[in-house]
Amino acid sequence: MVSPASLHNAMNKYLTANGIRVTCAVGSLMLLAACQNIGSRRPQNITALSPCSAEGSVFEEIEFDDWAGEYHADVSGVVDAHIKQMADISESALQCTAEDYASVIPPSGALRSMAEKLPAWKEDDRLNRLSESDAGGVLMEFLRVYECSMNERSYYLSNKLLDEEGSMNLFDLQKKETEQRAIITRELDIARPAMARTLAIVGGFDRLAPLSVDIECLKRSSLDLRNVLGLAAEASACLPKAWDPHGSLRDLAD
Amino acid sequence: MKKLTSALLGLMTPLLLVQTAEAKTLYERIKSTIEKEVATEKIDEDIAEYIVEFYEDEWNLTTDDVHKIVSGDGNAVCGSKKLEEAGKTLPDCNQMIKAVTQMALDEKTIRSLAREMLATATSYELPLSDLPGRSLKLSADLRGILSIWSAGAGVVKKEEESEDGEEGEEETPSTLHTISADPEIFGDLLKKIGEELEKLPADEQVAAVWRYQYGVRLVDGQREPRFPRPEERGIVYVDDEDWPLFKRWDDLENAIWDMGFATGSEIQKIEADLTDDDVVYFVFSEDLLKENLPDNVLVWARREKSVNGTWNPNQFTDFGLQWETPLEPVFPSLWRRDRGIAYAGSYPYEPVDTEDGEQVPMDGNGLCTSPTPMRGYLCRPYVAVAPEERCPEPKDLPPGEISLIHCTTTGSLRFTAAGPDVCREVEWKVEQPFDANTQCKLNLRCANDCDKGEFKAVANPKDSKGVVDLCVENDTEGIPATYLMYHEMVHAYQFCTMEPGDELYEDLTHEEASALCCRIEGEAYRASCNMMEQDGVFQGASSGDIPMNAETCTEALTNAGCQNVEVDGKPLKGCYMSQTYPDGFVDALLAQMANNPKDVPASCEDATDPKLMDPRVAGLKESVETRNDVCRPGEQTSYTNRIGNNLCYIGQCVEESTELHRMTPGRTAAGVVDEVAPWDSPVAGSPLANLLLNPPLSQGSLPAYRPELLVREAEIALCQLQGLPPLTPPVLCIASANRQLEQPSVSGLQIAYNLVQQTQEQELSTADFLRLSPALGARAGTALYADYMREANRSFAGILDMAAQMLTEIKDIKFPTEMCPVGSGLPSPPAE
Repeated sequence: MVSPASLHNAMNKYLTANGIRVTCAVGSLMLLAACQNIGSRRPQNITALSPCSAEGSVFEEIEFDDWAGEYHADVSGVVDAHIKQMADISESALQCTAEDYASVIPPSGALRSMAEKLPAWKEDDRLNRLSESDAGGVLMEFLRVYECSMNERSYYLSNKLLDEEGSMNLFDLQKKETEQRAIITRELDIARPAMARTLAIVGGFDRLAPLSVDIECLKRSSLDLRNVLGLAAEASACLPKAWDPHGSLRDLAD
Repeated sequence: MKKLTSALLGLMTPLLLVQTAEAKTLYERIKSTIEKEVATEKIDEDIAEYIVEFYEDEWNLTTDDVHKIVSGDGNAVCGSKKLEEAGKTLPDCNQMIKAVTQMALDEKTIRSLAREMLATATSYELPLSDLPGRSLKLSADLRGILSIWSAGAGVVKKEEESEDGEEGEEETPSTLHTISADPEIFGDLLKKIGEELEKLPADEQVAAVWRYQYGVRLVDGQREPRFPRPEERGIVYVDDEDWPLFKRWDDLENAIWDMGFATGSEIQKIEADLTDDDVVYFVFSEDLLKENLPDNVLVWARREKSVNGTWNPNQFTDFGLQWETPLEPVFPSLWRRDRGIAYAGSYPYEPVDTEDGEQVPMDGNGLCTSPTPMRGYLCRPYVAVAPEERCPEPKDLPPGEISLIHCTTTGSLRFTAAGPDVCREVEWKVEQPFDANTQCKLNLRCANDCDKGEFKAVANPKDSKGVVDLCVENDTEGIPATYLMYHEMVHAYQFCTMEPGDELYEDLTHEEASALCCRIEGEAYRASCNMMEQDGVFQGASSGDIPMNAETCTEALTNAGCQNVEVDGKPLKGCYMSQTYPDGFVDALLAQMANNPKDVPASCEDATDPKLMDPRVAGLKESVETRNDVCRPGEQTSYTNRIGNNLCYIGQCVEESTELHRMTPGRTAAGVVDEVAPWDSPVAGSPLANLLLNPPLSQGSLPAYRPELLVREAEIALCQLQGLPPLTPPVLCIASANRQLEQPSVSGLQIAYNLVQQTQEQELSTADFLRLSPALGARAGTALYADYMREANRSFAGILDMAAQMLTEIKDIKFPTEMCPVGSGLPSPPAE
């Protein structure tokens, strides 16, 4: 049988060692309590919007025929990674003691890769501060750049085709122009509604994501708290005897 | 949100292909749907059939004709008609093309809107799902936290009382477990389900997933009576069996049942570790689902252990289908294959009133058959404490108004008392059988002769069954039997934790027996004398110079009592007294005790009758019978390792310390585990209550859901977008020619141009507004949610704040490194 004093010393050590975690438990609950701040955890503001052009974006570097495939694959990858990250939150390395929500979940590889392609996140400082909570903003900016690129190409389609293809006869030019204009029209019809409906769903998840993170942090710290209280309960078994003025619990010098 | 889903499910019938084979991401699924919606040249087959039937009397069209017209080849359709046929002439042809194209466009718009609405509902409802394999699992995570925090092994009394004042039944929250589904066992079973789904027409595939979303056992009525089958609640109408949402597919059901039966044999393997209230979810791996089922469809299985070889009476066991992400609703029937068109679609019926007057929605009640959602406010009575208090919305709403939160019953919220036993209301310990070695039961009886010589009452030692027999003689010589019974009850409290059959004075020397007698009789007399003094029995009484009071009563009677006890044929020596009492003091005392100023039950019959006995006697009786000291040396207590249970244990130990030992200096007990004041009933009194901090509890309240107000605000916003004041109906804000006409203009041409431009301008802002509406709705939902969480979390945070404070204080306690020396004869502790 462990004496209450030694048990308590052990508990003291545990509490000291895990003080941060206990604080974290309470801290995360406070975070939960401050749920009214759900909407106030702001992602990064985009203060440096690029011109409405393909210039400086990924679409400047790849063939037009690959634009749609690249765009939809990138968006799909970011959305998928975003959802998976939330679904697997119990296995994520969360920074539960982070000062703000944006720092809790680091960005997925797909999101970082997409942001790197956008002029608004070209600066290292902004890129380093990127968080998974910025996913909506990055996706919308990617869509804007995509639409701008499409519109720009639509306005100057003949010139661009001639630049890209070199000399062309009028028949080929018109044929090519018709084909590409159809793609541009179709993509402009599809891209925004698809993004809007996707974000309508993912946005709902995102609005609940801070709560989900808080709950996960609460769960983890609750387990710590349970262990602490288990030790406290063990120690409290000796309380009635501890109150006695003398008794078998007192260490007799033997 | 549930209503929203319900509305969507109710309002719609099928279409859109369930994608099979290749698994898609969420974005890819949405993109392919959008591609179909924006492709003006294509329409769904059932819309084509509907248009054919609708214009059957005007133009003789086929579905191919409709597809051609929609894809812009209408002139070919007109050209192929015979001269005498309608639609041949140019004006008629134009009219036909215009009508068909417009109707196709309208139907596509409706379907697009329905999908938008479903997406909004999905974004909020999906994270609250407790099914494994879906994005976010808030409710499941919350259940996990509850499991860590809550006290108790299960049974909790319901808080609310029904209207007739009766306390609610006991409610047993289930503990959720998960188990991985073995691909070897379930692979082929899931493949069979997938094959059966793919055999169905596209619209029925969608409907089947919605149909079995709450389980085949529910649909089949096998979970009755606790969970009535949907049809019993009035959802399905006999003549609507061909409506896909209400159909049954035998082959598909059989395939799901086969999977369900397989879970049964899996559960048997772990049955020994489960309680009757445990619920196990089978987790099917992502690969297993994707390999065998159509895209975006998953199966689920929830299982309990069987009871007496049959289904568990909790009736949570079920198996069904579900969407990974709900994207495709069931659309209104436009075309009924056996009965022609359904004008304006086929809608579900209005909600009906059940026999008990409750208005039941036509669908959506399946939500309340799952163990976690059924504990939400949508599925449980919401209690009004006082009239209208805590009721966000009035109970009696005008017909047609939506109400999510109104009080459904009256009653009172019950707070547990902080006094006797901190966790008295909760079965926090693992249930253990009655232990005759550490617990006892009382047998109170009245007799003409208790067979103990001069004593008028006696407490016999505990027998082998743990029963302590208390006997009071019918003739007590005028002394109220209540005081005698109280005295014996204290003895019972002393004997309760002793081994059965223990003889008090066995194997003791005469000296030791005397000391023991003085102690145990002293405690008992101190209790009964104290009680008499409080009742005024000794008021102003004395014998000679010696006043009668609790102290003199205790001393004199203890001494006299012990002198009357014989051990080994010799009377005991008597007890230490602070003074010498003259002969006749005890007789005078007994005569004085015959007074009964408080009119306590005097006869033995009354004093032992539970309905008539003195409340102090009743309180002590309860504390004796419920006595199960968790902190007694050697006592082993088992409980589930939860925060609440640990706190219950700590609280109980602290309580026993304060109630049994006293922490006041100079009032501590003399020996190990001795009690200072055993006559203080922990039940009747609550000394600990004064030492406890009460957490800042608030009852919490649910915010009101006011959809009409939201719609009005949206209408005002629409008018503001157009630069107009709020108008009724708001459609006036969309088309107001006055604004341009009232402006001065240089020419009539300019006015005409502005009028044309105004329409376009308004169309654009209206389109913007429509696009924003789902986001605005979602934010309105967030606001409701945040309002609720703000209140609900405040109490929780308060409790935790106090817990943190107490833990910090425990941490700061500095225990001495040296133990207290016992007695002067012991050596001093070693010097540091």
